[in-house]
Amino acid sequence: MKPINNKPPRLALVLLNKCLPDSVNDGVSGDLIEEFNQSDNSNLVNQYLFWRNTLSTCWRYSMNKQLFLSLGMSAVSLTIFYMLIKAVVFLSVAEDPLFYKDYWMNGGIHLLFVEDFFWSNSFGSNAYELDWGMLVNDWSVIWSIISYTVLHILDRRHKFRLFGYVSLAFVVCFTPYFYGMLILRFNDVPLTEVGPLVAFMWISIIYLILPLSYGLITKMHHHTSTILA
Amino acid sequence: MANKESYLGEFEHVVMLSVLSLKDNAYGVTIRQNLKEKVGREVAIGALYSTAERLENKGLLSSKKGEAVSERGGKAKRYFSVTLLGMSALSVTKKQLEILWSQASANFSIQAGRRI
Repeated sequence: MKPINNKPPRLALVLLNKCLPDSVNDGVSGDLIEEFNQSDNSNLVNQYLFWRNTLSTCWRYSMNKQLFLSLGMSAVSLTIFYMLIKAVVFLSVAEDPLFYKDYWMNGGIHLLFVEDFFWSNSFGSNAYELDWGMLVNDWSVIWSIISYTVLHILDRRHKFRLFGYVSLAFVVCFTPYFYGMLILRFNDVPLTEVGPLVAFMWISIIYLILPLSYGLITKMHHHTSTILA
Repeated sequence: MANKESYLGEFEHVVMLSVLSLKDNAYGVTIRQNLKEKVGREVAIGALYSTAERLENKGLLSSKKGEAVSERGGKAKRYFSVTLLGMSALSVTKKQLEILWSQASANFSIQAGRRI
């Protein structure tokens, strides 16, 4: 008879619960607990075996396509987020000659990101100049709140599939950007009015890209669990 | 002629035979015990479940949740069974192996005899 205080390591069970998809969680955890309870080995050996099985199983289920997709998506989102923050800070301290570039008037403002001087100016030296007020834009706030809320409500109501959610998230996130590009390309916008438009284009993405990426990663995780279930 | 999906990997073959031999009592613990006792093969539980899921996705195995008992910490068992498609795949694999073994057996006896 096993002593009553011999229980499977709780931390290992928590780890299994976090690592494994819902479809196999009960099966794997239950099997390991059953083997633990049936075993005639010493408690130390049982604890070791339980941990060994837990870690190898978590490794196997964590190192999969979904993880790499999630990491890739996080990297892309954080890169865009970083670039736009840097761009906002950069513009706030940029000298006048920068604004004589054609791309401010014709909508090709993404060309700023391939300029040498943009990248030669390290973020570290600009960071302390970041005034959080720069990142507040009324239209971006309104757009982000409304579009995100609508997307969230529609998703709850219609349970979008992964592709549908990706498409809508892309539309929600980048609509201000494409809207601004079109306005700049097809209208003669005075240079003094370009600033607020660019702020709407960029700051909306800054607000939305991280929550949308998080939603997408969560959706991917749920999608994978459903397939396996 | 069997299509590509009918071919079983070696470990898939072993798992399916084990599930088949355990009838209605094929779940993680018993499959691992069976493989250890019958063929001396220790199988990682993660390897077993990921293979079983792959076989389920191919339609060769099916699974259902069983009872949740206290000795399993209240977790349900996941019972596996071989589907009709799985039986067909096993049959094809068995025939293929028999043909190959019948061809190879003569040489196998000779070469094994030499080594002894």
